[in-house]
This record gives sequence, structure tokens and C-alpha cells, in this order.
Amino acid sequence: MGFDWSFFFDRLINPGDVYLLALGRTIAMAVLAMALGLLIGIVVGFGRLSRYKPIAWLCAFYVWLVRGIPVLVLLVFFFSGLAAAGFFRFSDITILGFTIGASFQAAVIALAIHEGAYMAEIVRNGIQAVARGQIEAAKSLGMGAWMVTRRIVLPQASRVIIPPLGNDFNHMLKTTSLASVIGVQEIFLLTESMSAATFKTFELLILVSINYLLLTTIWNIVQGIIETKLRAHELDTPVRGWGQSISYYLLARPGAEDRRA
Amino acid sequence: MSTSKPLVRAEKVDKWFGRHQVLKGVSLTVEKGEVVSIIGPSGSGKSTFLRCVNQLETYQEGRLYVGDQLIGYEEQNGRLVALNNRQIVAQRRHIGMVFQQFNLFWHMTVLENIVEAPIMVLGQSREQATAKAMELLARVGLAEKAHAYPMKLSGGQQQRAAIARALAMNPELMLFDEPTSALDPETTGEVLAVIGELAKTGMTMIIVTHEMGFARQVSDRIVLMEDGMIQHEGPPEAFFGEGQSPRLKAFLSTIH
Repeated sequence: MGFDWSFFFDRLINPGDVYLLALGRTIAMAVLAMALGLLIGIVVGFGRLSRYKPIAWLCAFYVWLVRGIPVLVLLVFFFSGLAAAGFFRFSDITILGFTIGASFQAAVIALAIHEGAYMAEIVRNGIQAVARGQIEAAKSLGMGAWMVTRRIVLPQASRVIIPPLGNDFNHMLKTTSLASVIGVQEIFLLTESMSAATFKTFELLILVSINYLLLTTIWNIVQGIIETKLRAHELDTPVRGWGQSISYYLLARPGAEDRRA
Repeated sequence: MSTSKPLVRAEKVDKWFGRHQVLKGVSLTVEKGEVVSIIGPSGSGKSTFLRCVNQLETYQEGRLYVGDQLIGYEEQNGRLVALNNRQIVAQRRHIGMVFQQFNLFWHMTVLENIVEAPIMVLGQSREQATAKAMELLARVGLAEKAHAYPMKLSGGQQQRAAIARALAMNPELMLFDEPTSALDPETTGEVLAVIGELAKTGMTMIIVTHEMGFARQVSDRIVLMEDGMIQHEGPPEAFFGEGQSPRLKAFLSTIH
């Protein structure tokens, strides 16, 4: 019994290279899976609204299928399931002297496919929130479909998409811990193996929790800044550029933040 | 009125929404520099006709020309073949439209709204587009609002900015779809003044409106639409003066 404070503080202040590398893996996995998931989400989100029914159906099927399968099952399926059936076996890739592990690749793919299904719904909702009049105005100015999408629909939809996207990324930062089951050396798997070696299970789990908390806190701030930038049009004193968004978010938040004209 | 080729020529234009026919053989010509107001009860097809001109709606029968271009179609052996998207986009370029709900892009400032299409569509430089935009903003009395976002403007200011945005594309034809219907009486006046000024510059305009006094004052010709058809057409004096048809009388009495 008892809490080993010196062990706790020592690990907190000096986590060590191995741990930092694992932390890097956690972050890289989350960022890559999210980026890929967003890409899938944009394609599938637009696809669900396609005039061509087979495309709309296919996209709806993807969303239905993936949202019905636990992400843990997806992870094991992509890493072990595909290999067991002889379809595809992930293997380590070395790029510029940097080795990307097979399990890491499988984890990113599985997490991205999982995230893509949720992002598709978020993106679809964002696109549908763009008023028809905005699109008609753009068309009447002689803008073609792609230009209307790029200059009007996506920027306006992104105001609707970003808040839930940030929420999903918060989830993603923590969902990466599931990749431990397929052997990705991220912070949770490392914590488990360290606790098996030191029996400081309680201290190590608190440490890893603090780590996740730190990641989500940093992300909260980043998200707040992004949302401030995107809400430029409805702030009392419009912010221009990232520098102003950062200072507005950090300094001028109370009261003014949620005022809508 | 000039005697040269009309700018807009509609010949027996028909349009259906499903089984419901909203335009029934609408024929109308608008000369270059002419201002034509279309009045009529709600659901009479006047907005739909206007939206057909710049292809926010498609018509199914008849012919609709702007300049020498057949709108939306290509005629092949007497049959109408729909244009592709690129051709439709090109046809819209020289037709300006002002909407009832203004439809300014809310994620852009007033200035950004105005320079967007000149830069992206016409390929103007930012400097060139900005100079022109500031000139237009001064014309509609909004120079000091260039960097404001639409949400911070009154309805009348938004509509004036929307007019400036349409003019920035150097249109040869301006369409106004009930430009003051979403405005309160105070701001209606300022928007009508801007449209009135524009009429004096020789811009060809088709205005769908409920503002009878304004239509009378600004138009060269007034068209009454009802039930998808043009019921009456003539200069304002004939329209509002003596000898109105019973139908016209009936309509005018409902709105006064």
C-alpha cells in the first residue's frame, strides 16, 4: 500500500526518451488518423448528398457499416484479420531512415476508417447547413460548381463542422490507447509494460491519465483559437489573422465571446 | 427605347414544377437600357420567370434569349438540347441578380463579397477589383462599411452592398427579385433610391416588385403577371391612369 511520491514526481518531471517516443506515437497516430478520417469524411459526406444514387447509397452503406462496428474490433480486424485471411499483411516501412511499424500503419488506417464514418455525418450536416441563397448568389455571379464549393460552401460549412470535429479529435487522442492491443508502442501500452516491471501500477496510470489530460487541454486551446478565427464575422471587433485570433481567445474571452449579432 | 435588337426576348416560355405549370407561354421583350417592372400576386410566376433568365430555374418549352444567346439550351433541328454546366456558368456571367434575402456571403466582409467574383471569375487583379469595389461602394453610400461583415449591417445596407456586388461584374442586365420585400419601410427607401439611380445610368433592368409607387416612377414599362401568364403590359401612365382593364383594376385594388 501507499503512493510512491518520489517515483511519481521523478517520472512526471523526467519521463525518459522511451516514454516521449511513445507519446510522439500517440500524437502522430491521432493526427494522422484524424487527417485521413477528415479526408474520408469530406468525400463520403459529399458523396451522401450526390445526385447519383449508387454513390449516395454506397456512402450511406459505409457510414452504417463502420458506425456499427466497435473501433477495437476494427483495429484487430485490420491488423490480424486481413493477414489471417491472406488478404493483406501490414509490414514495416522505412522512409528516410525512419521506420513506421506495421501495427502503427494498421492502427492509423483502422482509426481513420472509424473516424471517417463519423466525420462524414458531420461534414454532411455542415454542407446542408449552407443556405441555398448563398449558393444561388455565387452562381449568379458566374461561379462554377467547383468554385462555389471551394469559396462558399466549404468555408461556410467549416464553421458548422469545426466544433464537432474538435470534439472528435479529443476522442481520438484517447482512442489511440486501444491500438495497444495490436502492439503499437504508445503511452498506454508502455505504461502497462512498465507497471508489469515495477508494480507501480497506480502511479503509472495516474501519470498516463495526466498525459492524456495534457493533450486534450492543449487541443482545447488550439480549438478555441481556430473557432475564434472562424467566428470573425460575428465578433464585436472582427479579428483578422491568426495572431489576433490567439490574443482575442486568450485575453478577450469573457462575455464578448458568445455574443451574436 | 431603342429600335435595335432587344436584350431579352422570351417567346412562349413554359415551366412546370412537377405537374404544376407555373409559366404558361410567357412572351416578353426588354430593350437595351429599358427598365421593366413585373408585378402581380404571390405565386403568379414572376420570380420564377426572373430566375429562369439566369438559370436558377430551367424552363421546359419556348425560347428565352439574352442578347444573341439562347438561355440554357442549344437548338438542334428545332429541338432544345440542354447546355452543359460550363456553358451555363458562362451565360450567367453578364447577368447580375439581386435577391430578396440579399444573400451576401456572411463569411466575407463587404469588400471581400464584392471583389470575390471579379477576381475569381473575371481574373481581375486584387488592386483593380478593390478600386472598382470602393467606387461602387461610394456610389451606394457604403464606403465606410467596406470592412464590416454583413451581419453587422442593416437590411438596407446589406441590399445596397448586394447591388454593388452584382454591378462589380459589369453586367449587361440586372435582375431584381423583390429587392425590398425583406426590408422595413425606412430602409426600403434607401434601396429604391440606389436602384432608381442605376436606372438613370441606362442599365437594362427587370424588377420584380410589390412597390407600386416605385415601379411607376422608375419603369419604362410595367408587366402584370397572374397565374403564370402576362395579363397586362404597358407604360406606367397607361397602367395607373384611366382606362385600366377590369383585371388590372382588381389586382391594383388588392394591394392599395
